[in-house]
Amino acid sequence: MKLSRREFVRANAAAATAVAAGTTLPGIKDAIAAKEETIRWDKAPCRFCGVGCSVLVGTRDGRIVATQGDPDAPVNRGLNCIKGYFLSKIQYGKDRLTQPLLRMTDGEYDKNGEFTPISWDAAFDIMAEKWKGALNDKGPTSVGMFGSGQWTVWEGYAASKLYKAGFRSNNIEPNARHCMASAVAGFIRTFGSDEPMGVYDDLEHADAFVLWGSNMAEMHPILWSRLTDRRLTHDDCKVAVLSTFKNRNFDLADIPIVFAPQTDLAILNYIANYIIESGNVNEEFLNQYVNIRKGNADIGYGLRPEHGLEVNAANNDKAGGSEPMSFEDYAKFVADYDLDYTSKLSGVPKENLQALAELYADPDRKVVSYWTMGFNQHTRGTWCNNLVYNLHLLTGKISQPGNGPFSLTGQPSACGTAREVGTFAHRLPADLVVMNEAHRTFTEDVWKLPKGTLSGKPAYHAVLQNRMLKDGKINAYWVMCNNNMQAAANMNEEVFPGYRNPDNFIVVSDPYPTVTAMAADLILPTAMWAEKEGAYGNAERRTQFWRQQVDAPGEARSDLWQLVEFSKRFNVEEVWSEELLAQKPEYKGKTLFDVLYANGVVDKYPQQTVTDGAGNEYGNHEMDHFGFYLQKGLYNEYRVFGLKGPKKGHDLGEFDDYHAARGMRWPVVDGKETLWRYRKGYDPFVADGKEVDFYGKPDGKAIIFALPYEPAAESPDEEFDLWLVTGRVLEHWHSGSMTQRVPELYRAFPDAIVYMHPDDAKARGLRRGATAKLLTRRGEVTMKVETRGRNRPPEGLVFAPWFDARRLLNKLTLDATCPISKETDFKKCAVKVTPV
Amino acid sequence: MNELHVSGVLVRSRPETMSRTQAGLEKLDGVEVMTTTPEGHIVTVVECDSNSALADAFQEIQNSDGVLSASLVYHYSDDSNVPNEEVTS
Repeated sequence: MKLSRREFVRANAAAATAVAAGTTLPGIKDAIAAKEETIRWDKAPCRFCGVGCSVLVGTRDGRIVATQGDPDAPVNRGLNCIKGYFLSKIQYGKDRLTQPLLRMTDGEYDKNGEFTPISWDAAFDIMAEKWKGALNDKGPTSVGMFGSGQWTVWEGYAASKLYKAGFRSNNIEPNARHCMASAVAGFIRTFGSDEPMGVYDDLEHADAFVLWGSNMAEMHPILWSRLTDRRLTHDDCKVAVLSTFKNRNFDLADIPIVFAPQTDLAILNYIANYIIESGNVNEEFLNQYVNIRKGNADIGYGLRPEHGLEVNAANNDKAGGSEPMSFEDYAKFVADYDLDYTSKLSGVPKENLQALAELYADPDRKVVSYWTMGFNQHTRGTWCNNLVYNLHLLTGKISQPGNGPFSLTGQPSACGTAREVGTFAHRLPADLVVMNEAHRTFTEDVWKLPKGTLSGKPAYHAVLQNRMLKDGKINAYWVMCNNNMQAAANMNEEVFPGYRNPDNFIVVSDPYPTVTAMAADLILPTAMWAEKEGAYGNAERRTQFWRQQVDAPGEARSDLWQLVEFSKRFNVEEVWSEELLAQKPEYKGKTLFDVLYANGVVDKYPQQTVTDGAGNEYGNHEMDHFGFYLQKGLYNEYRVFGLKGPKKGHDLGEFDDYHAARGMRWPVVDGKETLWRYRKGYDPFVADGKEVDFYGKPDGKAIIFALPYEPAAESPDEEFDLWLVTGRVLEHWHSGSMTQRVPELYRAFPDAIVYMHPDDAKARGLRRGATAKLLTRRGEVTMKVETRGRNRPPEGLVFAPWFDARRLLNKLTLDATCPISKETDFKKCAVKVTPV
Repeated sequence: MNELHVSGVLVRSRPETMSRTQAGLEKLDGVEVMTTTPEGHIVTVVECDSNSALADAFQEIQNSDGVLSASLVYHYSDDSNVPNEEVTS
């Protein structure tokens, strides 16, 4: 059959889309093989959010020319959102960095000099000099690293090993501290093990969905399309949406709830109270599988210790403390949160609160709770996580198809890298922590380190790192794979000063000249996404691998190459004490590269040709450079933590299997993935004779925590009279350093705007399209006013997205954190809005 | 027109208001509705002469009344002058 190319392409588009809708088009053949023969197609997880969609990457002549939704992927089933569709372009921004740049004057490093191209060799020379200087002068806590939930698994692992073992410094944190730390702290506190018990399959099994502070329609569109499908095809399926302003999700909501900021704490306790009073506690489940504890209250706001709010907080030095509590006392505790009180405090109509509570209480209704930054970026973020678990534990609606709490993730490997590898100041791989001696000993054995190499003291968390840079306690600092100058709160007072402190040397590795890179002293050009072999872990515990599709431009090198190559600059004598070396005399005279990476395990797999099932060949720059299959070696050493570590249930599968599969969800045992954790029949680690086993806790029981409502760190007052909420929009992802380089995306949403209620605008002499000044106690920015559109704030609250590098919203936000998780509250501070 | 940009976009709407949603989509430039399902799926093909026009069209689809979600399934992009060249399938 002869067709014009146009007709041919249209027929293909229609047929493929019809298949995704579960139907066919009469007269058009099923998905004609539209893939041009000159294009090589291979799978890769999307570079953007934590959903972990698989995309097919089309490469021609060494360049990515197309991508499409992967029809064989269980996560996205051939669909992509708008961000995924533009993946083929993010690597080709005009301002890609292609060589190292050092601030210099007259050929010498000068903190106030101009960025000047230098060689990698010269870049590592000055870095090594600065790192060694800091280590000599002030010891391991004076060197630091700020990494990423966008690191590949092996990049995070190599970085953690370099810092914790090599430099003997726990001063390594991921930007995931800003988005997932409260979820982590909540999981560990309640279940003793990080990450959700459920999977995305819950979307096809639940009878009700409750969104707590999650703009799923815009931020996780593919999961939203699955949720929409369930809502529209399953009888009596209900959707409840809770937010501090109306957003797109409200279009589908059966129970729409706009609540006053911070009162989610009270609403959660009200629901617990309703479950108890309506007689819907699952007593058998509660008695067998749950303990109850009362958590410390009045725990402060994670500000500097001299701040008034900290001085007056009774328990800010023991924020995570708790004591046992009886069920009767717990019932009395939540009884204060009755319908009248909660409705008045939250501003939510009584009938909506009751309808919401009934979703959880009804024993015949399967319910999944989803949340993202509304819960996590909260000065009581850990509490919010604990409190939503309470609802699922009171009713036993957990760890089974369609029932459970599920924390959604913002970054592609916040779970797989930051959390599972443990690139935090207090963590080690597979849920181990530096404070636990047995965990340190196990790690030292796997890493073949002298006993006592690892420090047992957690170092500075993300927010504290910025304060310690400002205070001159950290002097050599490496920022990799994130844009923290644009992301971290209170940028004017607590971020920028530390980068420009004359005592400090700041290195930023990035593909693009971001705000953070421009604040650095040395910029290292980075290979991204499909320019390297990688692995990500998504929000449902699914680990996904990809092959290097194309070469990086110029001298850009992967984060992995940078970390491992830099390790060659240190002799062990320069970083370890004589006592340590006396235990391993064979390490004398060796470099950190020899000891950490060429250690007989990581360099075990020889150079080989990487191929796919069809026989196509792929490059691997790191393998060519180092002479062994670095990614495979790092992975297999890391895998030991899950297979043999002290915390069970973290097993990963074989390296080569992941290259063949569309990912697998851990624990992977005998090549089989696990869907619902902690439940007999699904999770192989549940002890014999038990139906449910929360084995992260020594007695197998999860914990219900009694925790109160407490106010926000800063609320509107007479002068700063509005709430400021920050967040994202669909077209941009996080700080926009990648998506703002795609012209079409930039055009779709070019400049940040502030969404406000028309009456609030009018009262301030503003109208739609006018320029307004947003002013807080910390800084000011100007933005255009929007009073219509997809985000509709109630009176008294404004919403602004934070992707615009020219309108740095973090000049306004307060660096208050959850005292337990140390995660910043980006959702609540007081702002004044005036005409310019 | 030298460039060819064709996308398959799957739209989800409420079945009871699907016909209105469909009518709204059909008014958009370059958007053709190919078929629908009783569950509220609307299968569309979008054709534009530039990538930026396509992005605009995608935005208009998402903001169109009754659209609960819109996903891209397929995209073809060619900036050479070949739309009318014959191919064999």
